[in-house]
Amino acid sequence: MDEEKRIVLVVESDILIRSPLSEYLRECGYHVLEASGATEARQHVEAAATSIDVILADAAGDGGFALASWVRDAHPGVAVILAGSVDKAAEKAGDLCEQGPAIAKPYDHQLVLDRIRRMLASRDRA
Amino acid sequence: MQALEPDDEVWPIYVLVVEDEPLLRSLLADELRDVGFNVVEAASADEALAYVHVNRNIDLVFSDIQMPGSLNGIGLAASLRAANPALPVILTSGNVVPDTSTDLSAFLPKPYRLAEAVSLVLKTLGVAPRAEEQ
Repeated sequence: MDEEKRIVLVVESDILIRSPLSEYLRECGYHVLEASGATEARQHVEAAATSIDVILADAAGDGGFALASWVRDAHPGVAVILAGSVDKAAEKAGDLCEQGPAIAKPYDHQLVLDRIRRMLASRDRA
Repeated sequence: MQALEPDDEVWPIYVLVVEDEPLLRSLLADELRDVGFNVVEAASADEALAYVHVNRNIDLVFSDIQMPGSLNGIGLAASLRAANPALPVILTSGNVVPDTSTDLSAFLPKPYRLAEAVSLVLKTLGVAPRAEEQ
């Protein structure tokens, strides 16, 4: 039930990836915001009315690492999951994310959902 | 105004919202989802075309005119209508008013109220809000 109130920001430059993943997460009960890049993502995060719980961002995309670093510094309460398809991305993402290395792309929607649920549950317990 | 009845046979209806301002795009998309539409969000005309090229299930396009990328909203409308002349296209802008030669279903000047935009989408499609979403 709490999931209905949780807000997930999906940051992905490819609409053919972003749109179905976002739709899947909506069907799972999350309120999903979409951003096509880091600049749009920052606008969502900084919007006063928005209280984002989790950001899922493409590490290899438009400023994914920089976005994660900025969120970590400016909004430490927001969890970040980085996704990437290159080894370097996974390695660097381990330093920026709270729960281990990045999710590999292409996305497994169920894996993304599981990671979001685990991350939120972990935060709820803390 | 003509009274419209919910018709389950026409749903699901897919609306493509094309807007480069993410907060406005998100607000409008959520408002449209609230009345039962399946909404796809595109940040540019190029994204919209990439989506439509692969997914031909879009029933209406609501697009801003001034956007970054290789096409503006008027170019997007022309491209979409060339491929599918029956596709309803609504354009919006705060600065540009399309001339009469632009092939579109309706124009909504910015700033607009979200309820106004939703109402125009419903009217253009000739449907009432989806019953179970009320």
